[in-house]
Amino acid sequence: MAITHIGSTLVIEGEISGSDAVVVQGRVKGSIETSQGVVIENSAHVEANLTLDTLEVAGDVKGNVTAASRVEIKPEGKMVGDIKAPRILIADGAHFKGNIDMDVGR
Amino acid sequence: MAATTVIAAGSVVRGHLTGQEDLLLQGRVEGSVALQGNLDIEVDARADATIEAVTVRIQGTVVGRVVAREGIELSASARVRADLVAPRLVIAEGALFAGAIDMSGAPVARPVFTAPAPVQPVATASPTGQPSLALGDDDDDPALPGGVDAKNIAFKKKK
Repeated sequence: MAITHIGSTLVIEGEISGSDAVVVQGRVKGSIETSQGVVIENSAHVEANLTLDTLEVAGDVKGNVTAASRVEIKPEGKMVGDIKAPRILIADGAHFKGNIDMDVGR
Repeated sequence: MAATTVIAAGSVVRGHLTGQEDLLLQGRVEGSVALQGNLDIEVDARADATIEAVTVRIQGTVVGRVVAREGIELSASARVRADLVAPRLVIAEGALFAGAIDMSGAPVARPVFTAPAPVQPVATASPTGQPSLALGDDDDDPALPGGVDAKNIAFKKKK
């Protein structure tokens, strides 16, 4: 399976879109749009609107998320923004500020 | 692992991309790429971009401008419409290329600018606090450069 991998020193200002899973270790400012899952790793800083299937947050995320199936904020994850997803997990220790909408009609 | 970024075949990145690591492009990039690492553009990949990297290997399609600090390689499958700037360049048989090539590089321009710098300390060192000499330096008196040259030659002979 193809994975787009944004390494820890990489900075992207703009948009990432497509049909691959995305793993972010670096910085993304703009937007990420994919039909697959996105993983925001511990070292990552993401300031973007996210449209995706599943999201795992272990890093720093600022932006709104629309997920087709699931959003998980890990214990080391920090997120500020609104989440729209049918299933949402927030682990013990995670930081979150924003609105949650689980009424996606699925 | 951590030192390589991969943009997979189904992904498109639009915007500015910078980093200190290698980048493997299998998908598409539109905009600009600036790397302190190597860029590898695979067969079905496409870049419509201004690219800066240490080395750039092109097997896919590139439109724009490519500046490499060390070298650029166009493989047989490469389709390139771009200006290329690099001290070393390889174009394989079968590659399609349209654009300008500059292999002279920046190092040629730098000595031209750095050359006058050592001349001035010699000229200012030679006057023993006399204002007339400093004025003559500004007016480009033919007598002064001659004196400077003579001193330089004298130093070289001693060594």
